[in-house]
Amino acid sequence: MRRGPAALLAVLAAACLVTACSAGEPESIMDKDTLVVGVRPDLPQIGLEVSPGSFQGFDVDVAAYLGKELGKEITFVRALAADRERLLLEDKADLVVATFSITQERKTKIGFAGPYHISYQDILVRPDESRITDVRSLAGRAMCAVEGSNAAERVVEERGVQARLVPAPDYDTCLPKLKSGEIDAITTNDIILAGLALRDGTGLKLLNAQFNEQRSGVGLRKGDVRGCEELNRAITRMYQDGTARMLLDKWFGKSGIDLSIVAVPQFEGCS
Amino acid sequence: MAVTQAPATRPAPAPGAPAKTPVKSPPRPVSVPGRVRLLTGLSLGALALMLGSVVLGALVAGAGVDDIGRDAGPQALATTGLYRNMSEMDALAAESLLQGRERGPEQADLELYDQRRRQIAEALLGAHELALDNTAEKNTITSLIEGLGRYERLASQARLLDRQSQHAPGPPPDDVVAVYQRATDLMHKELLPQAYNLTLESGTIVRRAYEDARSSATLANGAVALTGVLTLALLVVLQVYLTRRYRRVFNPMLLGATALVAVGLIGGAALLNSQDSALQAAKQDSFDEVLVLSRARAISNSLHGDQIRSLIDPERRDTYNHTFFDKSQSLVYIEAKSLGDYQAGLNGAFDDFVGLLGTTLVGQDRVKVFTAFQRFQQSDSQLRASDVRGGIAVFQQAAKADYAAYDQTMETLAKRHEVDFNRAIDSGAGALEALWRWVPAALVLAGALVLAGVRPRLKEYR
Repeated sequence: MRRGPAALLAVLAAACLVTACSAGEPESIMDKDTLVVGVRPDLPQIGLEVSPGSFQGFDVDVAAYLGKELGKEITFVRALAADRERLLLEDKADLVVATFSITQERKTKIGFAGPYHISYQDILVRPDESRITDVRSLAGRAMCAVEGSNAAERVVEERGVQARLVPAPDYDTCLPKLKSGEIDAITTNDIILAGLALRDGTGLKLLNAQFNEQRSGVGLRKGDVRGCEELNRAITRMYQDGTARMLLDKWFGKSGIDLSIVAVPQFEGCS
Repeated sequence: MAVTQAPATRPAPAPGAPAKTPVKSPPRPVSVPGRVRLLTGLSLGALALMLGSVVLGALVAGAGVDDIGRDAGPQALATTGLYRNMSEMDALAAESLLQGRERGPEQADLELYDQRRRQIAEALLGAHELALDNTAEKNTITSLIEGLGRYERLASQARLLDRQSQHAPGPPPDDVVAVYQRATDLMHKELLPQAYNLTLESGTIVRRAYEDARSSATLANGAVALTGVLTLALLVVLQVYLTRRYRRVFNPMLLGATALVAVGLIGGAALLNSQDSALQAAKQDSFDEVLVLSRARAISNSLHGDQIRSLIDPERRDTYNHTFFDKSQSLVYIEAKSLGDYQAGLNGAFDDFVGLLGTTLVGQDRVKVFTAFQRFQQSDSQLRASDVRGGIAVFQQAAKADYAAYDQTMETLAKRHEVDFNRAIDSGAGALEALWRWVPAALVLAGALVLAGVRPRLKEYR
């Protein structure tokens, strides 16, 4: 009988292994104290790096609010358009809040909470432009095609509008081209265009053509259902306590974007 | 087994009891009943712990089944109709404005509308009960109630203006349209998204209740297994000790007790396990499917709305076309650059599709829903290939019916899953009932048998 107790212990340990002691969940942002958030460094009013490591804009404020609601410390890193997915896939950021449109293709690799804001693809033109009134009238005109963004291509491919695409590395390069007449229009999210126009200050016109809905979500690792659900709750609160309206007014109140209805967007869902 | 290999000359020290007996001299008689008492006490203690674990496990599992099956689950399912009922209420309001002078008596006109309103109120009440201390969810409900009140005000205003205008059947005068426009904007931009989010949040609440129920069930299962094995081991030790000390072959009472405990352990574990798998079936195979189908129906409903709006509002056609494309992609995703591309690509094999419907449906259900979805998209591509007039004709002749058939397919499926859900919950509750009825009784009887088996042996020392 001397081996009795040892055998018993082994049985108990085995029972423990297959039952209660093996509870494990996939990693979630909720298990961390500090979250690394990727924001745009290159978009005025949305996410702009004002000095190394210091950012400001709508997305930055949204990220700070969400961090506070989740009870987490936040540190920011640069997330250029082309880097957003990679930052999450390579674990260099926990969240990406960077005018990151929810698309089904992206959802095959990463997860999305939100959207926290719905914007529309729009068109920015010179103050004296009268012939361009909507997306169809871009046919035959020159348009900036920015690297890493598919906004201009979508006009040609999805809408079948034969516009001429002039490549550019970023939107900052597009602005002087537009003003000099080398191109006739810039197209992307209305809030990006509004930021560019505000900073430029020479009265560039936003058409309010609103032709493609862009649902900006919070990117996170795929499979983090708990984190996604908590983010959705925090976004709901952001709209309910008036913070969303306050932030939109703060950053886009003077931009010409229609802010008459500010309502919590329909969420994508976490599973 | 370790028991049979034990050396015959020495009694086993009971776990926790000091092994102080000298090696050569036989133990004094008084230590034998002491040990028997100790072993009996330990066995009965372990048996009591096992009984406690079974009762606790049954209570915990019962709370889980009740929560998912009778409270949170059905309440969450009740909210799934919210989006569709609200959307239909708006469509009925628009329809009544088109009737003009040829409208019937007001009561008949509003009957369906009022029915939807009642269903909405019930769903909101259910959602409120489900929300408990979830403030964001409660605020959403408050905001929906407030918004529906505003919608009612605008809709009645439009209805009154419409009645006063006495217009011919067809589009009402501009002032009526302007008021209705505000109502439908409110519905589509503010209220419907919140209704959709409410269903998502209900799903979250149920998912978390389910995870809690499962992890406590796992703990309870572990406790039953642990205490069961401990009790069995102690009974075997007691049996062996008595056999050696009193030179009897077996103690039949103890043997019976051991068998009962073994049956209790196996039966208890099996029943707890079967209620756990019933809960799993209810949640993953039924509840989740109903929730996904109701979300898909909500998205499809607004997809259908985009189809209509692109016909009657040519100015914003590009936007509606885009949202139609985007929502279609979220239901069934295939790589495509434009809607035309997408609709052509849909003719491929069903297996490759992902998206809300693509990842959830399997087997025959998948084929049925996808075939209906394909037909709906085909008539839509015809509609888009025509001019406005032809488009309206296609809409009336094909697209409307194809949408209805597609929606009907999903509804039938959701109803079937709801029946499955209730069946799974009933089977889980049945397993628990059997657990309550048989296992504690077997364990109590085992305890009595242990006492009955040990008492005569102890008497020998009096």
